[in-house]
Amino acid sequence: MRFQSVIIGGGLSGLVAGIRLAEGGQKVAIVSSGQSTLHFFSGSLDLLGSDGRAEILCPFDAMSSLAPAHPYSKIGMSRIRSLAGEGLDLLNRCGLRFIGGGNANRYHLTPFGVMKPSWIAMDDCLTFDSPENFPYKTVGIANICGFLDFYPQFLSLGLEKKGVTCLTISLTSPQLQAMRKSSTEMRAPNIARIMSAETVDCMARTLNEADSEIEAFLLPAIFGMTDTVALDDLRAKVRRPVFFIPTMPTSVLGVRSQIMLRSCFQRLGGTYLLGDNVTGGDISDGQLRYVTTANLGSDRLEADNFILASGSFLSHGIKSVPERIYEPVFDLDITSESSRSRWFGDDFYETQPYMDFGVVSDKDFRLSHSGHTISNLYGVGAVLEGCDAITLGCGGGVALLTAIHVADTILKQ
Amino acid sequence: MAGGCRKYDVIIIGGGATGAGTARDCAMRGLKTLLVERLDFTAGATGRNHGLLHSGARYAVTDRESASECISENMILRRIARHCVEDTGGLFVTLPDDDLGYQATFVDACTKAGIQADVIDPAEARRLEPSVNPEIIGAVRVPDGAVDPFRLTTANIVDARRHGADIITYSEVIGFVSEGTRIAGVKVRDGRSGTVTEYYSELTINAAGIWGQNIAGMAGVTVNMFPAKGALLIFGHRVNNMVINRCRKPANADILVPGDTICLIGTTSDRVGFDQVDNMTVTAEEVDVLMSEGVKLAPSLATTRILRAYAGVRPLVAADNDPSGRSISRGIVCLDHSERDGLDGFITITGGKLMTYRLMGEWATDLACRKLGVRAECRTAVMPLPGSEKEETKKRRSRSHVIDLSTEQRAAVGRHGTLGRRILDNGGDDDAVVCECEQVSVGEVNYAISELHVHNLINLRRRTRMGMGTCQGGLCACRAAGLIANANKCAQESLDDLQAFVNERWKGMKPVGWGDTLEESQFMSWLIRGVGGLSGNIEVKL
Amino acid sequence: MIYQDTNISTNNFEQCKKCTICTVYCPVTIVNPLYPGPKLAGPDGERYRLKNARFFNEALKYCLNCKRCEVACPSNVRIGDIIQSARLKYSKSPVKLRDIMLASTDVMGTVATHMAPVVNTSLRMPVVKKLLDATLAIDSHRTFPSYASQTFVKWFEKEAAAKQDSFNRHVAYFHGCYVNYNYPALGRDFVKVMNACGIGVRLLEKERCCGVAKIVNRMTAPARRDAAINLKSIRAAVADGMQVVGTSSTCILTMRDEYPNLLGLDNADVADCINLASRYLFQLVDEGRVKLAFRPEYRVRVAYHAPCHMEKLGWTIYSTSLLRMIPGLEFVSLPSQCCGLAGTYGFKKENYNASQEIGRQLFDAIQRSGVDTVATDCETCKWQIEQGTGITVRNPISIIAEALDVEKTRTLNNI
Repeated sequence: MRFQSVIIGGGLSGLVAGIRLAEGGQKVAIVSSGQSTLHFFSGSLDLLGSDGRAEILCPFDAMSSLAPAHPYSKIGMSRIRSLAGEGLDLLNRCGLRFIGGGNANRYHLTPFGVMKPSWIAMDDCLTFDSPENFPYKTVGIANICGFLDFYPQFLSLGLEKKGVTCLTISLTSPQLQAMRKSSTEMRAPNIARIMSAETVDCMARTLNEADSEIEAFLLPAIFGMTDTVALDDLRAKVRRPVFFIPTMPTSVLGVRSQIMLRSCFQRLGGTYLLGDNVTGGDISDGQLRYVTTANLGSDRLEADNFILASGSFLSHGIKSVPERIYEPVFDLDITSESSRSRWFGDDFYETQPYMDFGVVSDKDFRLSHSGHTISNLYGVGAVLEGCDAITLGCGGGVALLTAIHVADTILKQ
Repeated sequence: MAGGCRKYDVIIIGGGATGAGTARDCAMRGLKTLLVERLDFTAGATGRNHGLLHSGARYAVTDRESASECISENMILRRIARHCVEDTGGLFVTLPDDDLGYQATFVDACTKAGIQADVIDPAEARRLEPSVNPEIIGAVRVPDGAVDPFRLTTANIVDARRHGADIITYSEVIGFVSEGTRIAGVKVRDGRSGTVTEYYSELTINAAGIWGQNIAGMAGVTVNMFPAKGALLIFGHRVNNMVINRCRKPANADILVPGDTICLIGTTSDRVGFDQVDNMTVTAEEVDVLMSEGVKLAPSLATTRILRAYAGVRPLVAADNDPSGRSISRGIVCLDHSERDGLDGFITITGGKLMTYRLMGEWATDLACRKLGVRAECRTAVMPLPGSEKEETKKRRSRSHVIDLSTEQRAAVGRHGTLGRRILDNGGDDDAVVCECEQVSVGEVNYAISELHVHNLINLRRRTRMGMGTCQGGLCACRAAGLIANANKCAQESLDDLQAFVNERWKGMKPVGWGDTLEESQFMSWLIRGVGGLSGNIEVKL
Repeated sequence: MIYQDTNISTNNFEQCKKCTICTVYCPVTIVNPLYPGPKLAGPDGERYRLKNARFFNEALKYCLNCKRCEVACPSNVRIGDIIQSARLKYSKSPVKLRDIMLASTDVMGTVATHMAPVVNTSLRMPVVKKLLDATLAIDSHRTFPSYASQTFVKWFEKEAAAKQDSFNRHVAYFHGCYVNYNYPALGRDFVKVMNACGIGVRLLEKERCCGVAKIVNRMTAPARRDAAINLKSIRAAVADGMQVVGTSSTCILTMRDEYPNLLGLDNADVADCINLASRYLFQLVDEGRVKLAFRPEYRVRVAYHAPCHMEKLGWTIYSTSLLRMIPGLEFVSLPSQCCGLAGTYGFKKENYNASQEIGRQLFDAIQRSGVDTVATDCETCKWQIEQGTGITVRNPISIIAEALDVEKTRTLNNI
């Protein structure tokens, strides 16, 4: 089977690259080994949240001090700002409704009530310009009875430290009560899947009757898994502002992002092969000729260009055994430490060297094997070396920007 | 909790199995008892061993006395602690590299110690335990089993309390109240508030394991402990259902024990400095030794996920006249310091092992009773522990209902024995699962908080297995932190606790951080640091 | 205690990272609170079952074996296989007469086709439906697919077999119970398309039911017997240089993946030669070995429904690509989701409501799409969607057969 581009990995970076290429008129296939880590997405996408020591306010200004191996340094500061704008536009074209995107980071509330900087956020979320400047004096924090992945007590803790008064409200409906018969399935996406207009009505009534001091409501993000109907419905019916706080995974905001991006890609004519694994490929004369997959068997996927968007360890884009760390599909060149005692930091919260490991790429994100660059194989997103997404707060940005950058490089050929 | 009265017959220092067993025995014999624990129950060597219900066979050749003690306690625990032990049976296998001649010596020694040891055909051994190395050339079947040290200690604590004992955790003994040549009480610092309280007693029993050396030092006497570090690996599921031992002189990594949902291989044995006993880490070399030896017992360990590595310190006692520690006994040491050192009101019970915790309690309590002039029989060997009582003959639930028990309900009954039944009766919200790997429900968490001295997530883990499963505490820890915050009404403390808990889990995953375990760690980092935005800055110290 | 029965899992449950993504895509969890969900029933439960068989939970029967959890799993855990093999290994509840009847598709089919008119009429009678509902707990809302008065095999032997020798290339056709007893027309379409392309069709030496219904209804021994017969015939066909091709995605998945994974029968030597008709035809065209010509006036608006087992095979792309080859066909995409019937599952009274509830979103999407025909590679999806929407559902091969300009195709392929 022949395509113009084949992308290995169907998460944020793979889908964005695929959409960009398909918009550019290419015939594209994405091979995705199961559902992606986008399912854990909190709804707030960071570009650069920290310099490794402290939170930073203006991501674009701080990028120039990043290490040369960091993907942003390879893209170059002159391109970053316009790429970021194009990335935001692309996400919104797919119906994701992101807000923000200025020069400065804005803050959002994490499930534990921590105020954390990010560059853009889905409009479900509440964002504010500074932790010292929370927009409301009194909020109502409402949880669903029996839902364990949302913590009103920790949210109140974080907000009360900033002088915000928090009142807690309990929500339920007959439908949600019935669901509680299952001891394990009161999880965010499952609540979102059974959310009906009656349940939304029921909740809106409770919220409208809540204490008049409350200026805004904070609810767990359990509305709208495949679209925003339930979310918009609730907001229309409640007479005060309603914002949604990400829950612990699986995140409804993440699932919605995945579903919307995938359907956008497919609407553009893209082929999305879910649950399949690329098993290898033929590299000759510095080019990747084709790849094979587990499901397609003898049918090869041929393409002019290939993009590796297979993610980090959790997504199996990079694998580890006691002796070494490697890239499992092509055994590409990779940065890592040989002794496993140097992979880790002692403290869970300190910088973990392994998070920096990834495939080696040149300035155009072309990957290499045994020191030889493969001219038509590019890397995007978390599989790339040099970006500790957790410490630097750059995971979303790296996925988005490298994907668009590489897609544009391919389209320019 | 200790009430208004701070005067006791005995004060026991240490909340390991020995301290808990001694407290139970003292309380059952009518002594007014206080148990003081610096951290949490089972925080020391009790919670850091194999969980092997020794038949004694392992010691039969080298230490006949220990072997006899083991087999007799083994049989007692099967009666009194049914919900804490599992009769898995055990094998002593001879590998092609081992001397098959040792088998005869071994069987002979077992027989002399009163341990049933049946030589079986290697093919029969493979049938009984398919995970065993198929190349074994010899096998002996012995009555080994598995014992859950957390459950066992908790059951002793619950029973001690039922018999009137007071129990305080997170309370460190920082000094003694002396009256001339007599220890008249202890000075205890509350770990949370920092306040120091004096408790008085006729007799103080030092059951602090390896830390007993310091306790004795504070009292002005010398007990020379010999810290021997033992490292172990925990695997993701039960590879074996019978204990597999290597039939040779005790050495590194020659025991593989099934324990609850997992199995573990151990141990190594190295002397460590006293400065390290509070901060044990497992090295890459130790992991490599455990793995390379472990796969010789059960080859499939090579492809089984390793959840974590941990190490404990054996509280071995150096003989009095040998401070160098060369002549080491694994037997029980019960010291009457008035006889030995001229210090009245102070007893040390140490040495021994998890298997003999009850016997150690009996010896210490016998001595205490003699000194206090109390005449009461020890009944700990005949009275079942709470949770292990005989099941009521009449089924409380209809048969169909029993079949419908969910996994988490069955797991709760498994963990708490008959006491677990009360978790089942609540239904509703209580059925919601907090820890999916280990099947811990909201009801069980709340039961542990209200009845089992749970103040934080580590306590909860030891009482329920929450966070001990495949993921090593991710989403479950977050959910449980929320529940504890609801109970304690202190969100900051629970949030700090959550962050500390995740770090504690990381310490055990790091030495085996590759493959699935590394991927799991990255997932946890994304959750806690990424999505959660937690940075490990702890505001309230526990 | 017997150890060896309980302590070895051949499934890869330890790769599970506890990410819970599988539960998002399980069609059952949100409609049936009694089902513990794929994560708990699968990898989580497996650890407990390895500890002790008494942790097996009969609620695993609510799994409809769609394997969407496996497709969603980022760590390639074979969740569905873990659940089904746990049911086979641990379930103590006796197999119901109803389940035996539903699962014995070939025996029932043999009997029923002999008296098709009587059977068909009576199975449609409300009083019979009520009786089946009351006595066997086969839901009265369900209508059994009608039985054909002449089986496909009879037709083939009488009308088609002789002609097949004239071709130089051959393919072995695994028709399955549905084509044989209920819907021979699909088999005839397959023969028509293959012959037009210059390929002769042969039947297997001996064909039995693929066994999927027996596997999910825990009739392991008969399933294994049938599977062994099928494998023997498949090996013989492969030795003759033929691929074995079927028109049902479920039969193909069962013979390729469930035989080794659930029944423990090694088929590695022939697994790659077990193929689905639409994939086989696409490959022939893609490799240039066959050319297709379509009737210029043919017009149809088709939505393709990806059956669960097609998604598991990862072969949806072949059927959609094949359909898109028809110039007069307007292709409409549907969101990929389970129709809810899952073979015998939806016929059972205890599952009927869940089954309809699962299918509801799909029915709505199909009705909104305004298509003339729904295409799908699975016969049970066909029954469910036809009952749920009233719109005709056809196998892609039947649509190809209808659209095909046979004469021109024959010429293109030098017949």
